[in-house]
Amino acid sequence: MSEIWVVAEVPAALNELIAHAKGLAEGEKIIALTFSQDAAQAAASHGADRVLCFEGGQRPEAFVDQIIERAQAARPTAVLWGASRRDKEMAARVAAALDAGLVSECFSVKRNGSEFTTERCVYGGLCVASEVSQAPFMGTLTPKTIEAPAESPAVGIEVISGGAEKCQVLEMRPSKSSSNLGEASVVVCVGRGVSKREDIELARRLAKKLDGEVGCTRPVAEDLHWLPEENYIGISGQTVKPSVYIGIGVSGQIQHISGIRDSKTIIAIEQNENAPILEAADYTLVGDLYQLLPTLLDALKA
Amino acid sequence: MKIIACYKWVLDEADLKVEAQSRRLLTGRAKSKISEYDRNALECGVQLIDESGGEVIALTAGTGGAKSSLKDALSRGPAEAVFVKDEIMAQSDPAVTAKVLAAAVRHIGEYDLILCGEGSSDEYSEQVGIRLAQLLGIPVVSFVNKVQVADGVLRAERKLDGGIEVVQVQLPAVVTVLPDMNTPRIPSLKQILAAAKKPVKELNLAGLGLDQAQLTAKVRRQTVLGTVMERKGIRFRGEAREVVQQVLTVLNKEGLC
Repeated sequence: MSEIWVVAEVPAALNELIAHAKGLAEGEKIIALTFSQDAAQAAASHGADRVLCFEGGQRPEAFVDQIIERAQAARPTAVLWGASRRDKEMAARVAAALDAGLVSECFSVKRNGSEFTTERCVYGGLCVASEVSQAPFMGTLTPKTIEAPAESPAVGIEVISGGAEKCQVLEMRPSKSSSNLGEASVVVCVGRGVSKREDIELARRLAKKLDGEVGCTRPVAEDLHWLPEENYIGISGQTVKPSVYIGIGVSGQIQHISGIRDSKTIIAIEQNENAPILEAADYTLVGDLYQLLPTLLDALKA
Repeated sequence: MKIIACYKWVLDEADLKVEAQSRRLLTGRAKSKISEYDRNALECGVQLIDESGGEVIALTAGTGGAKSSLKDALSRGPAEAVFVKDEIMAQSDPAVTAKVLAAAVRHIGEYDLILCGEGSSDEYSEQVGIRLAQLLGIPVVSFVNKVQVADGVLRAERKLDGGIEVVQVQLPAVVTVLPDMNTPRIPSLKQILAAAKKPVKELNLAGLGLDQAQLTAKVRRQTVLGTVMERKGIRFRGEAREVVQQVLTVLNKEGLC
């Protein structure tokens, strides 16, 4: 066991995993497993000692069997995975095949010899679980929990072809809208307290005036379809870290709170004083949002 | 078509509290429920059966406490339930749970499709359904929000980070279900009463041929502590104009107006 593997479909995630791997390595070489030339080149020029590029499959998952065989032969000390949904599927399949543990969405990993200590959120983000795994360690790692390493002289890329699987991909429809919520300095969030679709315009006006972006809670996107799914904030959606978050009619389910936890200041407009958002907010404007929000927009000349 | 829908009996996270000083998790007053996304899996199974005939078996593995889940699960439409009961499930991790479910599925025998929620509302490891497929040696289609079955072929839409992937695969397979797949039914009184008469098969781990080594969790939990979030918790009440004036002071401090 003298290798640490990093595996992810997206170049940015891969580079961050290399940074994590460098922090954990005790003499092990860092091997990057990639599924596109872009990702392979990123890894090759950001500190991986060896880069494999799996090519020719219809999708990364097509190479799971090959990854399993290689892992059985090389017995890496640790395999660090990205946290995209493809990454998560591949990680769980490889872990099951090797009868290995797998810690999902770690935001911190520390190592002491053969012992790996991780931290991750449980109960919808209400708690942090600290857990210990013995090498060989496997985990999917939350993005943006470390700086990517600086660029360094590139190593060569070994291309591996093949990739066979039982699933047949019929179509891939890339998502149309991309969201800037993650980078926004102000986020105005629409919750179920907003009673009509047209009223999202009020949130838009506020966001525009404050140079911010509009987000929403999961039901507003997935049940009501008032905003694109890329706009919902929460543990299974976007994570935001603005300087100011303003929740409009957001009750504050724990799954939503875990997506806004890193906001500097949290402001809520909410009528129900028992709503959980009040415990998560710095300031709550208690009252009817249909009185408070227009008054605020007037005062801001928005 | 024979469908196995798996579910986990979990503490309702809405009832959980954290003690402010010690950050200790207080579970004393928490009720249990069928994990949210597993309800979508059960609903998905029942809807597929409504279209094309067959039956759904609800499968769960848990401690004795999970017995209370069976009636709830059966009132949602499955014809029977299989309950793997063992106190060891309290210390289970995704590796162990998947092995237990795989053994129970083999015990059940024939099946066409296995449905699981994509993650549980307590641990949310998003692993068990995927591991289960790997252990059974059948394909998995993960993170699915649309599904169709015709002539033994499953067609599904996966919601991925980069967009929607449409895949097709020959059954049997495992599908892990996203919450926007459907709206789980609220069982009627009649369905609840009928559930009490449906058959339940109780299994234990020794009977499934699983030994201690296979049932030892790979990941050892040290602590579970409430996340720290220090917030001011200030409430502005009163006339709309006064309230807005106070929040303007806050926005002004942030350089926003």
